[in-house]
Amino acid sequence: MGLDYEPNPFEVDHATLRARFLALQRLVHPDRWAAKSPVKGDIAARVSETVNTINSHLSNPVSRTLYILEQEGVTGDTESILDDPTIVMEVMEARESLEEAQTEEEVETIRLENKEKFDEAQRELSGLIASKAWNDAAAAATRLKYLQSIEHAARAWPERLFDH
Amino acid sequence: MFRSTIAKSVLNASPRAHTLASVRPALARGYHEKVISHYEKPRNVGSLPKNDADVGTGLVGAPACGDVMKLQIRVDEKGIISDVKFKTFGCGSAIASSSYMTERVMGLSLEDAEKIKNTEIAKELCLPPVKLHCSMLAEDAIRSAIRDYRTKRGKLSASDASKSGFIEVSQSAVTGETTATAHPPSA
Repeated sequence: MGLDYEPNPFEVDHATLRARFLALQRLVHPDRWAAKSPVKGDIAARVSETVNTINSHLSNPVSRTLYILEQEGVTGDTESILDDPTIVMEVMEARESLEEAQTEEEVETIRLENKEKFDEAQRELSGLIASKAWNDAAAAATRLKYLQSIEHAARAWPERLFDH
Repeated sequence: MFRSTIAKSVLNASPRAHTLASVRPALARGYHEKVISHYEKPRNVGSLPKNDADVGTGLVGAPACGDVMKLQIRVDEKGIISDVKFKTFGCGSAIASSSYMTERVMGLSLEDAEKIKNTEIAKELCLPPVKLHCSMLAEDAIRSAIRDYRTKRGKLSASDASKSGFIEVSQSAVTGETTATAHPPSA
């Protein structure tokens, strides 16, 4: 996408990303190529899909961090269990209060609180990535991911979030 | 105990098989009916008062998928799990694993409960390889609850050791191995 990896790959200029994404999609739009030949249309469809995937990975701070950590050779152990009671308790409490919430206002309050935590966690993560503290960044990314799951649950309310 | 639990959950699961069509499509497609049974009718959902001296709380999460699980046990004087509750926010397999675990540990001694392996849960619920971590989460949750209970008892009894006896629990900083030593009442 032509974005700078240095000095801090976490900081993405969203306007630039958006502009590059749209320009690329215009270039590889399948309709444009399908008119020339079906084969070219198929190739364009695949490229277009890839561009979509890259764009959504870069736009989201959690997947962006996972990508950066992967680039840096820090691969998260997918089997690992988190027993840091502070984070688990924080998430459990937020999810429970969402479950017990009766009104949209209550949900909105939880959401705003979570948004503040999320923004703060993002700033912290950005700092850790800038100073190349990869292990701490991985831990911060885990918390960010959990805070994001609270946001997803709040958005799904009053439906129960069915993650996967 | 084990056999009767299994028999019970199979009995619970089988009459539901023909109602699968009513289950949300995403679930019906990917999950085994035992998982769906526990997901739709989770056993022992809820909370126990975490400040009670005879309650141990286990709190664990799986960073890979963002699941969180709380498992609480109440332990009677004989060291038997007399009540158990769980709350899980996560996928169907994580909910089913913890639900199954609560049925499995009810009435067991702490020693027997901590011996339960995730492979047993995975086998019972027919979890596919990608969902094995859900059963590991349940195994970790019960161990964490037992650990919490023992730490609590240790602290409580240390202040009152002469009368009631206590269990000393220590964890090695190097190996992470937890050891528990029973100190029965002196007289």
